[in-house]
Amino acid sequence: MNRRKFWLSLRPYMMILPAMLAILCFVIYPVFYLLKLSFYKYNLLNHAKSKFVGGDNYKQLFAKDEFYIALTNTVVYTVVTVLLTMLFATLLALWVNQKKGKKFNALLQAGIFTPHIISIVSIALVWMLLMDPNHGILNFLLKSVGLPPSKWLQSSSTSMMSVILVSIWHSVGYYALIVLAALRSVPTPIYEAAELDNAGKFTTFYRITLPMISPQLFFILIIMTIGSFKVFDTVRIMTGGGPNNSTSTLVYHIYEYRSNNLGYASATGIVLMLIIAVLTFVYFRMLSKKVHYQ
Amino acid sequence: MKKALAPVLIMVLLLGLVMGCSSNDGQTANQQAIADANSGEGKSGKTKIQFWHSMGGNNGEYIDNMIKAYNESQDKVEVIGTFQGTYQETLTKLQQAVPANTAPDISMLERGFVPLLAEAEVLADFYPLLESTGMSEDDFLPGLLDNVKFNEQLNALPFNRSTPLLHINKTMLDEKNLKVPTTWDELATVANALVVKENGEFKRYGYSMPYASWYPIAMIQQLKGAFFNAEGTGMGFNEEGVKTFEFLKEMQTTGALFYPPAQDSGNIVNSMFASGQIGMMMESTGVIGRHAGIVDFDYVTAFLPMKDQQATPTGGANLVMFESSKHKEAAWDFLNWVFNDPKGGQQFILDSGYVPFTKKMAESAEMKAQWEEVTARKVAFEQLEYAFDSNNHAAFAAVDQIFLKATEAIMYDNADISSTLDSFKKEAEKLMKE
Amino acid sequence: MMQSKWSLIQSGINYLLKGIVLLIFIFPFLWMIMTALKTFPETMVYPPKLLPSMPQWSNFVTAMQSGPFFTYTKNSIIITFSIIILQMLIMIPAAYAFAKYRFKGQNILFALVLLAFMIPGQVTFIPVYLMLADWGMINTLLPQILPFVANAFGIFLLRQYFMQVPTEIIESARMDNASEFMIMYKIMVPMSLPALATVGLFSFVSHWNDYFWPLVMTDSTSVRPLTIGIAMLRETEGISNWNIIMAGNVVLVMPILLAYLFSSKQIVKAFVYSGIK
Repeated sequence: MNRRKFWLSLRPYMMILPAMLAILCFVIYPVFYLLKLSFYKYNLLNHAKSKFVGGDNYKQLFAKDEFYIALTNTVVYTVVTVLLTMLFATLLALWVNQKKGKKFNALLQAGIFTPHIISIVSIALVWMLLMDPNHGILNFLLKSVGLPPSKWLQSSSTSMMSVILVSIWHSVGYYALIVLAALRSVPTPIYEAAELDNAGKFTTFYRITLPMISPQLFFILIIMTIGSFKVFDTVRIMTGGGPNNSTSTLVYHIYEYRSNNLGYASATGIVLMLIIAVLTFVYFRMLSKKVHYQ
Repeated sequence: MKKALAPVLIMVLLLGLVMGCSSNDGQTANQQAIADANSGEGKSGKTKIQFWHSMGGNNGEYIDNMIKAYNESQDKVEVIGTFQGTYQETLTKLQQAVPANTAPDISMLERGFVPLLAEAEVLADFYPLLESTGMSEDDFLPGLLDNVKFNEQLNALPFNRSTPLLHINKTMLDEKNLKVPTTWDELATVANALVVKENGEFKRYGYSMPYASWYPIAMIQQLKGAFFNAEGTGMGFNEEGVKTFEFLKEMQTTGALFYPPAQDSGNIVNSMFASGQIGMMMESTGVIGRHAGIVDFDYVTAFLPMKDQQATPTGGANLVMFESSKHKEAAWDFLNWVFNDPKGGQQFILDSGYVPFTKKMAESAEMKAQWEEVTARKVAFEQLEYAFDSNNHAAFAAVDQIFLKATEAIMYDNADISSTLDSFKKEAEKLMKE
Repeated sequence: MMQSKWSLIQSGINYLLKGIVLLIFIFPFLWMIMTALKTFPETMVYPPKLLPSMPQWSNFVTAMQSGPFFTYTKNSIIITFSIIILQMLIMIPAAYAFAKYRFKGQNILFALVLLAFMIPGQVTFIPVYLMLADWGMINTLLPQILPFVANAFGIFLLRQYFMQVPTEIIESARMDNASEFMIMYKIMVPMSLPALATVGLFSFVSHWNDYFWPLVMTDSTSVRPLTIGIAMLRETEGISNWNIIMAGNVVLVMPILLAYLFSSKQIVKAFVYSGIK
């Protein structure tokens, strides 16, 4: 009887064992391994020639202009992408939520969502084609309405803007969908009451809609910030971090140095992880205080 | 009792995991099986040889043809060629593959990257293999055997080797009655004369070069500087670097120089040259095959314009064999064929425009006939007389990476030349000491 | 009268603007397909033309022959489906245990799951590569499968769903001597199909489209997936051969685009679901 009880108490552990094994093996353990690597001058080709160097990699990191450039770029990318995407997503959602022309709205909704399920590889390639400074259609359109053409990805003053543009285009449809679902879950009686009070459209939005959808907006904020800090694919394909590091991001920086200077890349990885951890922590503190939940 | 059980269980679970993750005992058999499946004998009984290379586009096709010709010439060995991207990317793949035990049998390796792998002692020694088929290092052109011998071993042999050349649209120069430039001053004059500007937009540039460290290095050497100093303790240039970039920047502001975007710069420069948007370019000998007899203008090549002296680095790639290869003899059979058979390396050289690398090849009737027909190719071979390399160091790959960053800052964003180069040098010297 | 005329104009403008926005999201795909059917000189024409004078189907052949695209496609399929199947097998019991059992260390272990959700592969790829290299797996598809078998997000989502299943149903099933396995697959799974569909769809889209992980984990063609193969077209064909590159791109995009065309409603629903729970 006691033995049976013992096995019963073991059962949940057996059920979670495979999942825990995989998580520990491919997430938790690698983090410690990464920490160890960040204290080494690691020789990839010949492990035996690796050296423990203490905090040297971190010293090198914090003394390197390129790291600060990558960090600044990542922050700029994140702030601009997150804010603009949230703005456009909300506007699109409000627009699609109009009562008139339901069929067309559904089509629009399906249309703006399409890029999100397509590989970023394809999207980056297509936009490179559109943004070609000499033969691209974007410059053709600019010129045909009398605007000066842009160098897009090929100039350090416009490259980051171009990458951000593609990112917003890629993901705005998804976030618009989430906002839309939130809008639709706001109970109609609340709006009816507002109408009775003769509240204007803007007031209704600011006083009622916005607080009601704030949990979803907050969810988007977290997911997008963390996601944007990991930006890599568009940069790798479209610009290779250039010109002159103008689009180099933290993950790209790690990627670039992963073979020539593995210890240094590991130290950068640790820094990136700490940043994401701090962001997550701050956000959840805010969450518990500010956001309005039903 | 029951309360204590859970934490203990968790601990055991965690511990088991960490051990499981970090030990590889149970996996060796598995690894062996995979290795066999990948590089071992196939169904047909042929030995499979993995060969990584960095040739895309036309040159990629020429390499594929060469591999095909070898595979059809015999029935014991099958060579499988894999394109791994640029030289730099191929190196990265190799750096990852060596610890993973998935390195190929043979690989193409940019000549400047050989010391890095040689000093890690992962490359096979070619001396005994050469001897086994009655060859010796004297069969190769001596100018191409720099930087291949380490610890009494021969770790690399030349293959697609090149020097930078001046490629010229002679028709364009003739239209303006200009002569082929032989010095930097003449180059600037001619390039400026070729510029066409309409409505504030450059329609035609005089001169260009791909985004790479190779070309500034050539210029530094023409100023009697060197990339690394002879002792291998630091950089071998001061004022020479500043002068090089000042010269380029000055030309860039007038449209005399088109400096291409970093991504895919070689293709961009070459297609602009072929379509008449650029009059002259400093590019590898390896692109002659892409233009000679194909472009619709009079295409010639010339020695690089000189400054204080006539000088050029060599470039392109060598072939290396990995010590980890289980099929060295079969791999050597392929290489031996490449070095000696007219359908092997010789055909690739004829197709592509790289310089012949064995004495036999340079003296062959086919090569001579082609030189007769396309003098552009002969120029490349003759320029080898002025070739020397000043970037032989295990840290070259890492230094090259940051040198390119400095180049980008100067060429794209007008960063101050001397301060940019100064901070580059500090960082580079640190890398070289490690 | 005036009123209705004005509102007609208003709704006309509304439709026009919506049409333009729709075009912004559809046009790049249209341009991709058209470019894939053009000849090389046609891609270089200025001003650009939308339609090719004569569809060049041979571009697809050229693109597919520039590398082992059969292998790439096969790898993409194997990787994506292995991940989904393994994730389901591992995720369901774990979510069940977290939702319906009380055991020591439960909170810590669940916190670990959430932590895993927060630590991105972009941070851990270096040690994971070295580890898998040590295990001699780099020349197999396993490095692209194993690290993803535990889907932390899926466990989280599914647990939420399982918690809503009334405990009485489970208790009464146990009374009838149903095994835990039967309870999971006869009660829990059917009751949480929407959540499972969401997770499966999410996995499919994110792994079929993944670029970063295979880029850092593979070094030979035999294990590369489609995304890498397509991205490499630029290097093998040269950056300006847009017609060939876009032809390859169409091949990568079409399966997903077609699936979306036929079931956009379900897909949209699944994605919304993930965002609001």
